[in-house]
Amino acid sequence: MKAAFREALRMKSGLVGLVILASLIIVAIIVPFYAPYDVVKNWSSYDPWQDNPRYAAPEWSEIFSGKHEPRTTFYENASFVREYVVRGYIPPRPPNPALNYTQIRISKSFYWSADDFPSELSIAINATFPFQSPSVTISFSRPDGQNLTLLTYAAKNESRNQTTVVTQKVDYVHDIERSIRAWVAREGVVNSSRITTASIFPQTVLFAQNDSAQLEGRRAHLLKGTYQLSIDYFGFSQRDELSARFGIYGTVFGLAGTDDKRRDLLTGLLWGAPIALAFGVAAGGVVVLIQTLLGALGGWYGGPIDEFIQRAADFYLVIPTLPILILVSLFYRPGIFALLFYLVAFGIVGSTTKVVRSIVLQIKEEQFIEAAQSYGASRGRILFRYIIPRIMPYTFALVALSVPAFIFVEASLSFLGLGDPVLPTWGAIIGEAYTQGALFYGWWWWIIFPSAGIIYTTIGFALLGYAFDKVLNPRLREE
Amino acid sequence: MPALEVQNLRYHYRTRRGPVRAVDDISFSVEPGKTIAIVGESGCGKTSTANAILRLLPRNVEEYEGKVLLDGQDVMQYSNEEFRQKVRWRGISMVFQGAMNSLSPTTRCGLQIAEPLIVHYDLEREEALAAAREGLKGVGLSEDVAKRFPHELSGGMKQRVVIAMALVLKPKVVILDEPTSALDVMTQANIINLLKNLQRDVRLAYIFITHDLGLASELADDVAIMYAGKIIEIGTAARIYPSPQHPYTQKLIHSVPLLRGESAPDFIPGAPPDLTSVPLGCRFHPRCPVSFKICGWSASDLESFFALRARTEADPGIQKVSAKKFEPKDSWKLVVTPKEGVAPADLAAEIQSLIAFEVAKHPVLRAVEKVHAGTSRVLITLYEARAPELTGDNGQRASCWLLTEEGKQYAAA
Amino acid sequence: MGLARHLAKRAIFLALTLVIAIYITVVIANGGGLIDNILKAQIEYDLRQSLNNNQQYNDMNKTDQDAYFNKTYNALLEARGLNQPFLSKSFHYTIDALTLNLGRAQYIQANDGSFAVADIIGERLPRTLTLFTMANVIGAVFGIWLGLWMARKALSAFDRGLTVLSVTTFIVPPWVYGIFFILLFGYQLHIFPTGGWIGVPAPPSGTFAWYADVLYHMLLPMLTFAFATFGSWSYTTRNLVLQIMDEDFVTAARAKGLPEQTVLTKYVLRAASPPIVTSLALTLIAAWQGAIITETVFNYQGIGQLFFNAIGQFDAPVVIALTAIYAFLLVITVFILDLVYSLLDPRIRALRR
Repeated sequence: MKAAFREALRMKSGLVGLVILASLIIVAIIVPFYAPYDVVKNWSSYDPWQDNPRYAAPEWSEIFSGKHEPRTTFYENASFVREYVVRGYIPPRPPNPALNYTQIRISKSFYWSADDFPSELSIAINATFPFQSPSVTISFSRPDGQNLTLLTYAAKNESRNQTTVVTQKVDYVHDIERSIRAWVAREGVVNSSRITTASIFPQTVLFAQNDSAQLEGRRAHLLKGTYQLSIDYFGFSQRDELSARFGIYGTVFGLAGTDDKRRDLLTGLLWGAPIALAFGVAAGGVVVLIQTLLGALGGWYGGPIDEFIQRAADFYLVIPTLPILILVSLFYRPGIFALLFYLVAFGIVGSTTKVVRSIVLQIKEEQFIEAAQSYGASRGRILFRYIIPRIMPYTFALVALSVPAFIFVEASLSFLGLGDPVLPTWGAIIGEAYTQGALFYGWWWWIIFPSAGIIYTTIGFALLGYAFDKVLNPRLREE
Repeated sequence: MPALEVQNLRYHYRTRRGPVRAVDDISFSVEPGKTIAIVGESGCGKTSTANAILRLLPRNVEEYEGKVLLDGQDVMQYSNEEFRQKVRWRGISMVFQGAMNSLSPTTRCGLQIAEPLIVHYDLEREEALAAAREGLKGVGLSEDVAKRFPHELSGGMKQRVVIAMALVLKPKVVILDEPTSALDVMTQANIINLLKNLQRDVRLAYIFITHDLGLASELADDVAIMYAGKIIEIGTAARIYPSPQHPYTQKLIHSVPLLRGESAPDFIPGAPPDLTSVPLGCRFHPRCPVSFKICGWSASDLESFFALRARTEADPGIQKVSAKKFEPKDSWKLVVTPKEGVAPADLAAEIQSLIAFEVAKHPVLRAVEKVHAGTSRVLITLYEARAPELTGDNGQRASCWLLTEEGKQYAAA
Repeated sequence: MGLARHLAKRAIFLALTLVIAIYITVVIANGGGLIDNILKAQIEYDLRQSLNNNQQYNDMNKTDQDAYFNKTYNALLEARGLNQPFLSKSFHYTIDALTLNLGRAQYIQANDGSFAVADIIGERLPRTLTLFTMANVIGAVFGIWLGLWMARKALSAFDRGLTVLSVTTFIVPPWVYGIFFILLFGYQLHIFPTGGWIGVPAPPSGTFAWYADVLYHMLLPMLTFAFATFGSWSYTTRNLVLQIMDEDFVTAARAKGLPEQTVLTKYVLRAASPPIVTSLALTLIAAWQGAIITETVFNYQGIGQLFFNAIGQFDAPVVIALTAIYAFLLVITVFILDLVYSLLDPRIRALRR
């Protein structure tokens, strides 16, 4: 067995296969340290990923576009300049009642030097006030000297603690759009019919030069320079407080980009490796082992046992495994361990059984078996002490060759959305990419990396199994 | 004129371990209506000879030369296509070893026999099948065997089918490669009878390849004994059987158990050599009961001698010994590396005296031709081991040093 | 005669397998009483429809209506066998599936608006069958041809390189390649359509343009398939041929003076065909099942994509029916291949496998 292993490694293919597998194992071991399990648990939740951009390409892809792509930046409250904080009291003068007030102005200037527009903007304003709704005005000033008021609103009581204005969500979006339309109309450069019909994306319009293309989304011309976001706050007590958080989402992120839920794909990809490996090897190992045992039993004992196992193998061959697995997954939503169980149940007999059986039949004819029998060894003893060890190298090759198949079954089911609902398997990532239209929108990173992961793993096992195959079938060896 | 004459046939093929010298310069001939038996152990090159004659070469052939004269024509000169059309099956046909497997399992027997007629003579299928049926009758089978598949026939019947197939084009020479080794004794006898009758009727020349001397004696007019790719004894059966010259042949003949006899059968210890590394000199010498030191030696024996010396001597001057093959082929030298501080010239002198002292006890040292000191190492040149030529007269020749003048002198010494 | 007996035995065995497979499907599907509920809903719907037009019913008052409805409903349930224990219900459903009585879909419709599952499937089955048969045949033919070439040039750089290529490509299922190819050839290079089985708008049905359009849409899936499957063919053919070339009867054929071409076709190929046919069986079976995702990726409206949609919409009757259809498909495929195999290898008629 060891000899076969060493022989297989001497071949180029075996060596490459082993290297690939070793690299995967290393990844699998390192991953829990780089991204511990709770990060993975977060895979199915939204909050941890909120600060990432959506559909962002990997950062290094800007080499190909030649442009310097913007990264995501969040300006925390501390980085805002408090231009003034005025707290005062206006004594009552009929008919006006007494007025306590707090007037705050904070602003944040930033320099935009990237070659592309941001993908999203996010402004979160946190106001603490006792009773009356304060008034909040958000204004924006640009390097070309233009200023516009984006929005003026009264912070609501029920959202006392948090008012978030994210440009594609919620109530204030229309108001912001209206302000922007009015502003563009004032400039008089863009065709007026276009102003009314075009959809407004603040993240592009606000950063676009004032020319006729300003409302053309990402095709507009970028304006670089110093921008400033200002927030004017007028509250009706002396105890009001204001803090803000301004986020500009970039277009690229990380090594592997992000998906529709803003998740860092690298985490998912890396975790996909141990999951795929563990699942494939577990399933492959168990199934091949069981099949080997049954094949050996059938071949060795012959007779009705053999017949039965043969028929069972034929039977399993004809059953539509994948559709039934889909059925089971659809109706009963098993997790990854239950899935493993079902796969094993459907893999008890199969082609390995037949192969092992024929090998055992050949070995049965050999002399030393006869010798063992003649000195009175029991059939079971012979089977386990002599025959099974002879089969081990073949079993190993078969395991190596069947692991990819199991990885693919899991990937297929995950692609269909039927796999483990929590874990980020490669198949699940590809499946989500596909249903979200990654092909159509050209979010290539979302598809290529998990696919490449699967193919890479497969090639590793295939080469290893192939090298073993060559060792065990001398005819295939090079002379 | 001989039906087939083979001259200096050579056929080597490449393997990962080195070139296999399967057929190494053999020559023989066979007259029409006569049989020559090629006898030898497994792995001696008999089947390779058959393949070489019929140009059935694998992908990894390395050397293939010589002369094969069929009715006087040297067919080695033919192109592959010419050879296929004129020689294969029409001039020379073959009954393969393990004839069971030489029949295609998916075609009916009649068609397989008829096939050469269709391919070579352009006969219509029906005509060819009719001829095939005749052929089947000729080998003692009924005509409806033609309709059967090989797996439906017994071993003996399959053998007859194969013989019928070999004869269908009425070739001049038939090579029979162990035609009966898988059959029981009775069937064996029947087949041999059949072969004898056919030979008589059609004046076929047989090349009968076998490991079974006794069987060969049934058919053979001439016998060639093969060992490790060479023919070591060749002559008429009438001379060789009663008085074999070569030690190997003698052993072979005495290894046939006699039904009524007092002596136990002989056996030859050891195994035939690996054809990638044949012994130097006479290839049989490692197993020969009467070999003496001119017959051959192996460089590794001498290497071990000196290496042992290096390890056991109190103050050995030898650091390392290794045997190296130099051009031309079969010329070996031992490269001796002296220890630190030992001058090569001193070491050479030491080795010379060592050899002179020990040669009586270790005759293998006779293989040393000269000892030469180089600038940093000592080179021990060994005599080129030569294989003996076939010596004797036309009725019987064997390749053994004991039969040569040189050898006889040496043995006397 | 041996042939007929052998085939009859296989047919019986396969039929039995089919029944068991469908039974398993039914048991799994009905484990939570799902099929029961679907049927009940169906019966209820049908009953209401028929009663809507029943004048007598409409004339009755509410309580009477309800009473009548419930009585008829329960009677129907009884008649349909829905009140029986699990085992016998499963048995009946199995019979239903076997006789292709597949019921009605919940959400999905056929092109003509029919909800009958049989119609829906019947509409798409031919598309899947044509695509996959053609694709597999092309892949097989190309792969076998390549395998023969590799065997002839055995151990050369050509052979070794292609062997590695074969081994590493065929393990990846077609849909992974499909996604790549669509991205590359469809969206980036615009050579092939990015999906669907026919263009929009479609040329008139039955015309040459229509066939041409359908063919054009089949090209990329077929290319993908050929790429994904040729490897197994070329690898197994190459090994098989090399093995057979070493066999005695091939050497004997050459010794007989047969031209090399004849030896290859009449002897080597003929001896190689039975294992190749077996391999074909396994490949087809895997292909049918892989079709589900492959068709989805190409947006090809065959039964694979139907499966995918049915899963997405949780249209249980369709999913169950499709599983049964797959069982049928596999059984028929295996049987046909068994037939071909026995014709090719006369040994099989005499021996037990």
